[in-house]
Amino acid sequence: MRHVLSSVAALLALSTARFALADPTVSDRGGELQAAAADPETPTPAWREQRPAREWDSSALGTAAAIFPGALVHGAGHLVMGESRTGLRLLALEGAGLGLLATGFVPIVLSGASRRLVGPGAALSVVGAGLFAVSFLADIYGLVAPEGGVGAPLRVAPTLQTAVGYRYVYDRAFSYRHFMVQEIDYRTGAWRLHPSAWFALDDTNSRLRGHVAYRLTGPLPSGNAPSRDGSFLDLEAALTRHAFTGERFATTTGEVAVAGRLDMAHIGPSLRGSFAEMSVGWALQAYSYALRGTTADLGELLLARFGYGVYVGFPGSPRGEIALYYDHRHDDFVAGLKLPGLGSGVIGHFGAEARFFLTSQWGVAAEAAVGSAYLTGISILFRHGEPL
Amino acid sequence: MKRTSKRNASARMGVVALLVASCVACVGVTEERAQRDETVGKGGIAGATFEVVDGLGAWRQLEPGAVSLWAKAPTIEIKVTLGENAPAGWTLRVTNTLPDAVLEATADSEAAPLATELLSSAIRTEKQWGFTLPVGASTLRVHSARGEPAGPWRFALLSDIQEAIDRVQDIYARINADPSIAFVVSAGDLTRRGDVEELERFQRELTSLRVPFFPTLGNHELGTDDGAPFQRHFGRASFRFVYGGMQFTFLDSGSATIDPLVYGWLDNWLAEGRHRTHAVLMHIPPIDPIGVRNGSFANRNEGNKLLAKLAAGGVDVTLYGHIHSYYPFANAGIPAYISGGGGSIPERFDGIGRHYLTVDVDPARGITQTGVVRIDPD
Repeated sequence: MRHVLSSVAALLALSTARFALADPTVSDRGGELQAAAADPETPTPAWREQRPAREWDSSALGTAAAIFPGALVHGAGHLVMGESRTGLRLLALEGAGLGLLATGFVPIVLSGASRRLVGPGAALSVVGAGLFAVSFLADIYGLVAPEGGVGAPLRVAPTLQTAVGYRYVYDRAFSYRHFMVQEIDYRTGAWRLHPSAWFALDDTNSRLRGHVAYRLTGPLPSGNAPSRDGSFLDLEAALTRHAFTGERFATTTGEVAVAGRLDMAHIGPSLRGSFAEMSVGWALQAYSYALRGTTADLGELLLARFGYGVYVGFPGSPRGEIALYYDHRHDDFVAGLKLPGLGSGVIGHFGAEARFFLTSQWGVAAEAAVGSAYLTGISILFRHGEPL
Repeated sequence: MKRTSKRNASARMGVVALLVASCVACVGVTEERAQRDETVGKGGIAGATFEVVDGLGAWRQLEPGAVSLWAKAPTIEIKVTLGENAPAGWTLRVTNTLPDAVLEATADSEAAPLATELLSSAIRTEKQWGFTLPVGASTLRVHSARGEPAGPWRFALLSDIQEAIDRVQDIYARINADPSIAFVVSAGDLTRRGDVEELERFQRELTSLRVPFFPTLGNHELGTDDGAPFQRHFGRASFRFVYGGMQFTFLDSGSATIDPLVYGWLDNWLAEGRHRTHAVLMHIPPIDPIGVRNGSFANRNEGNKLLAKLAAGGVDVTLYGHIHSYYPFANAGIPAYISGGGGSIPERFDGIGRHYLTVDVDPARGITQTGVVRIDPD
């Protein structure tokens, strides 16, 4: 597992290393981009080139190509549009994804899911699947999004953000349905403290979670220099206590993970305004039963998640972000996917989440996910700390 | 030159989002299968109705005067109701029964047992009887001639055969060589995709086994029509029977979950088994001892919920398949064994290979010993 974490950290570090080479004055909505283009003395980095103008018909053709044959040849949409640099990068990303997927999955199959290989194999498989999915979604985004995207990232993180909300969970195995959710997100320097609590309104179920993260690179709260974009790399740890009082058991989970986001403008100018996320980690769980004669069990959990999202809104207007994601967790409210046929159990869950600030302080968050359960809900957000 | 407008872009992004949203799974994948379980063992023909008590048998043939059944338990009871126009003479063929099985027939209208005649059968685990039934309700009971064991006895657990069906005969030969084994139970994955051809092949191979084979289904049996062929062929996926002072409860976990309907049955079965030695079998274990693999329930919390239920019900042992190796461990304090040694893609580097598990039972003391019989080392 340590090797897997190292590999993923190296991968993310490589991608973020490119930020250090980049011009530090990247601003929102291509402002700096336009400035660079106006100054013939200033060379424009390739990844920050402006997307060529497109006609509607050719754009529609490109979008169609991004779906087919783009589902197989990622980047096909951009290649059809003549944006070969971005198209080839997406194709390379797909190749890397398939390579990682094969590197992880083939040994699992050949070894009969050997206990000695399955941990790193599964982690590589999920990361590979993530790169595969991101390259496909990026090709589509680059074709359908308007120039410059529909939003820009926050380059300064809020110092304090709180959320209170409601979640509906439909799980056929449990009777709870309604939850009140509370979260606090406090940042000081590179540190982030993020406690949260879920309380069932129609059951005794409760989940308390303490989450801490250290930001290696990326947006920090006010008082620090604004970051170049929304990309970040965090080291994370969390402790979660989930009590199923009615079912007479509780789980206690300690976990560590490395999580990163890459603004996709680094891959090509048409991808500006979108981002990819990935995280990999490991958890140790204790299952305790409130029953005489039982003993607590210990179990491990592979943590892996990838997503693709877009920033919504530019400075001076309401703004936020929307993302689709896959999460390999099997221990949360949504857990793993149940499928018709013979494939249930191994795959995690899929979801979508969105945050949108209507003012500089007040916003809403919404999420929906499907795995073993359906989950949906909304939260009211309040933040403080001059986010840009 | 017309630029892509934000309105057009939004419309296209909306279409893409809708496509993604349509790719949602169904959280109720087990519902129809559980409902099909409730219909197993019920049938009728020519003015006669037949119901295997607790669904412990699947009707293979229902014709006027001749019925045949695949048994799911060492002892089965069939409730028969004959109408005025139904034929009086019947033959009953029971496949997958104990080699010394006998038929006991009684009619509600008569005090004395009805006469039955044992007909010839070429297979040791198949019996056929002829008898005459009166109009009205009758009961047919198939059970061991010697009665259930009062002393120590043994059963075997064999799961995850699938593509190794060509090599299964050497496993059966080893089981046949052990006279203390009363029957074999299985945690599923008998086939690769659960189609009729594979199920029939599996049954043909079983004819050499001298004892009956009682399986639940595995996820591979769900590869065809959500396991319906398995249920038509080999009966219920979730069921329970009692033999030799021990209760065997089989749960359908082939979809990495247990259906709420089955949880309802389980509550009753746990209450019944509270004062017996009680084994619970299912294909996919609630919690995989190698957690990062997650060869277990899709929702780990549901796995813990089930284990808490089994622990509260005083279950003595849990038996699983799905993982192609051998793992002795404990879950919620209950001794647990994963034995997926039927030959399908064995787990490498574990030193186990093809195998089956034996469990020794003393009606007075419960489970006294388990053993692993290796067929060929990894």
